[in-house]
Amino acid sequence: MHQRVAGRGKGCHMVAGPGKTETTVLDLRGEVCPYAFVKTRLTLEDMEQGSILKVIVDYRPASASVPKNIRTMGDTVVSVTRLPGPAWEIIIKRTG
Amino acid sequence: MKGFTENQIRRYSRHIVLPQIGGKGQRALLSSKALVVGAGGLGSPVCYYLVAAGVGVVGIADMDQVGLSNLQRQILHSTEDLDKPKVDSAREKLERLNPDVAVLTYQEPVTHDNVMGLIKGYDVVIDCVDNFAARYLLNDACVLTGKPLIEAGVLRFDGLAMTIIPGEGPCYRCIFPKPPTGSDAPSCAEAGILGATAGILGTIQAAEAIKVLLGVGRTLSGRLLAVDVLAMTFTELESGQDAGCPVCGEEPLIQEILGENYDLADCDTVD
Repeated sequence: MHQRVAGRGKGCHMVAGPGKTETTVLDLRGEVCPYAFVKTRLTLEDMEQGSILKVIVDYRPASASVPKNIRTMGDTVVSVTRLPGPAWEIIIKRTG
Repeated sequence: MKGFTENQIRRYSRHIVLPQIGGKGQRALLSSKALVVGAGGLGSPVCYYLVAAGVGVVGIADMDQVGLSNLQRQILHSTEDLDKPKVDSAREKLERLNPDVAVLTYQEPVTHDNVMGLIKGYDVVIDCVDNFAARYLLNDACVLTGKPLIEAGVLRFDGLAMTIIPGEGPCYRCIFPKPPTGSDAPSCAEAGILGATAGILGTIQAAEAIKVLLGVGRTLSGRLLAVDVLAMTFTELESGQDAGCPVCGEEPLIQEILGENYDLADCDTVD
């Protein structure tokens, strides 16, 4: 399954493997604070409990502020991983 | 991000990051309708904040034209708007502020004949009038239709605010069964008013209206908030419904809007 959503950054799409939980990917490279968090929150609001969101940011402050703010909303930050570029991959589980 | 344009995400981002609002709350505001009765000292901040917040439809009722003595506190209007209908002056400013909002205007007095038609279709009514007849009229119409009413009045350095949720808390008549008379009820023209007093109370009304539309927080239902700007004190008086209230009591005498219940002698308006 693959879906793109228009917007700043590279957009949003969903991927799922056989027998795996569906993961929504939100590519926010090019987006800055606070909009990286705003768009993450808007995306999470439309997701089912327990589903997984992978957010990619390339704005260093967002790599810290997005996880911090997501935790205050009650969702679970599973991991934050630095990628080449640099960029950061933030894995969030919808629990809020 | 369904339902938001890129510009809307930016315009409303400070709402969306609030846990109590988020995207769902902002979408609720964008599909809400609020009626502001009076585009003067209270109505100005109410209109500005509701329109800035993205309340989808904001209706404004006011029959007056802009006068020079209004400009000390009625911040919707400017010197260049003198003699213009207040609703037109208001609409011009508000449409420039936020094109997402439909601003509907009614250049007419609120009377027993038109009040039900005016409030119909709105989710909340904000009372920003300057006379007691209109205040009781709006109270009764909102109680009879079960519509939330955000109430406030100001004079000199003092203001009162309360939120009326019919069936849940007291209405205006429960707390003020009869309008004050004569020297107990001077107008702002006679007694004066600090412009910022209206600004503070109007801003409280806007916040209450938004809370009611979102269903968040604790409103001023059942609480009368008295603001003394000179001493800068905020005093709460708790109050319940009056079982003998003529409009929301156990045996209400007022079951429809009839002209004789609203004495225009109580409602001389001056600019």
